[in-house]
Amino acid sequence: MMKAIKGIIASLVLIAVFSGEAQAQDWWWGITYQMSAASSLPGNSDSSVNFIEDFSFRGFGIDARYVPERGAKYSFGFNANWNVLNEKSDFGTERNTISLPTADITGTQLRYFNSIPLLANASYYFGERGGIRPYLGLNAGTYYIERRVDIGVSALVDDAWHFGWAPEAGIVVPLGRPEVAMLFNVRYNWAFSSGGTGDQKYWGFNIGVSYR
Amino acid sequence: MQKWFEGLHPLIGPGTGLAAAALVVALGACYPGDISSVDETDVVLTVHSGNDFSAYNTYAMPDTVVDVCENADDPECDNALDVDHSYDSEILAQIAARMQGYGYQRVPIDEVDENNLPDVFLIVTVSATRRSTATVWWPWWGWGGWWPGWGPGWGPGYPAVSVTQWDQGTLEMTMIDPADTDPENQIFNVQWDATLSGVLSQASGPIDTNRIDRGIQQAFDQSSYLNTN
Repeated sequence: MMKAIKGIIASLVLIAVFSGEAQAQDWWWGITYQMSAASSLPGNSDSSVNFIEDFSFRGFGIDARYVPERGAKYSFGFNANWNVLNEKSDFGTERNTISLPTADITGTQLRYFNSIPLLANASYYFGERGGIRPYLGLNAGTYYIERRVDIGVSALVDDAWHFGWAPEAGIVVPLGRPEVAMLFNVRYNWAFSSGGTGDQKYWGFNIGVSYR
Repeated sequence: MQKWFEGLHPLIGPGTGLAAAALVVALGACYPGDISSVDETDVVLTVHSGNDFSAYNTYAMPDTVVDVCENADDPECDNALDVDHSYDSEILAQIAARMQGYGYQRVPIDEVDENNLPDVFLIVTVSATRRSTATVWWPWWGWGGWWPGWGPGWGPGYPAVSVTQWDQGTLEMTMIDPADTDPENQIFNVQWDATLSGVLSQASGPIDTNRIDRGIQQAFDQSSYLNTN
């Protein structure tokens, strides 16, 4: 699996590099390392309990932003991401019994949440060109989410495509040269209920490098 | 939730393994973490009829744990293993204690007849079988590593087949109401059923009674609707 991840990252880097050179200078391309935490803020129609409680350090994304003109305060773009949350709950803990109307299942559980957000983005930037630029952004698009519970030698799986949106706040920090910048942002991913699966919500904490 | 229950499918069929492998390859799902010992494979599944159990006061339970594959001709028993019965009395005593705790009075099995039926029968069975599964993987980014050394090895990999074999033990408690049966048509409606299953560390070795004890306790703990007190 690590090979696959490395291969995909390498491909994305290459796509970013070649696209950046081939396109106009106004496209910013970036790759982000992403961390995630499930959210139980109100509005979750699925459950008051998070599917996974543990913080995740697994995730990455590719980020593209088109700035219409030099010094513009806004950008449009898209991003593709992959977030993986997981949790292990041992036998005897409160969270390891799944209760159904006439059945209950207990066992050591391995829970997995794989989310692939494919989002369009619009952002507004504060500050001056060439300086540190805080920004606010809005993402909207689709989320492919697979939730899986391994229990004993069995697995419970559900997966669905969701529409969703993600407000975002971040900061762009230039790295000495005008064409390279660090990108930090916090994103609230909210995938609406779909296919019998309720709303899925999680925080994203992303660090990346962007260049044009 | 209903969907989840329908989605309960053991990963023991090659079709399921293929589907899982295809999903992983197609969508890049990632499953970090793993189980680290056989007792983490233990699963306690309880199901019930939804009937009111407060009407039941007495029960009868045979004095032996029945090996369902002993002398059985069922294809399911083709890979059956011998079952060690030396812990039967401990297992039955523990079940009896929990039944008593929930307010059920035991009727000795040799006193049961047509005129002296208990409210429910509790039958305890056991089985041990050898199971196996084959999983085929077709890795996208097979051998050859990745940049900068990807070289000629880059490209679709060759499928890899892994065969897993394990011995699984199952203890089952089945509660039947004799008033809710139709023996002529062989219909025995199950009021409550508890299945304790797990991977055996060594089929011929000593049974880990702690795992069985834990499973029995959990089965009753998660079935508090049985409590008639």
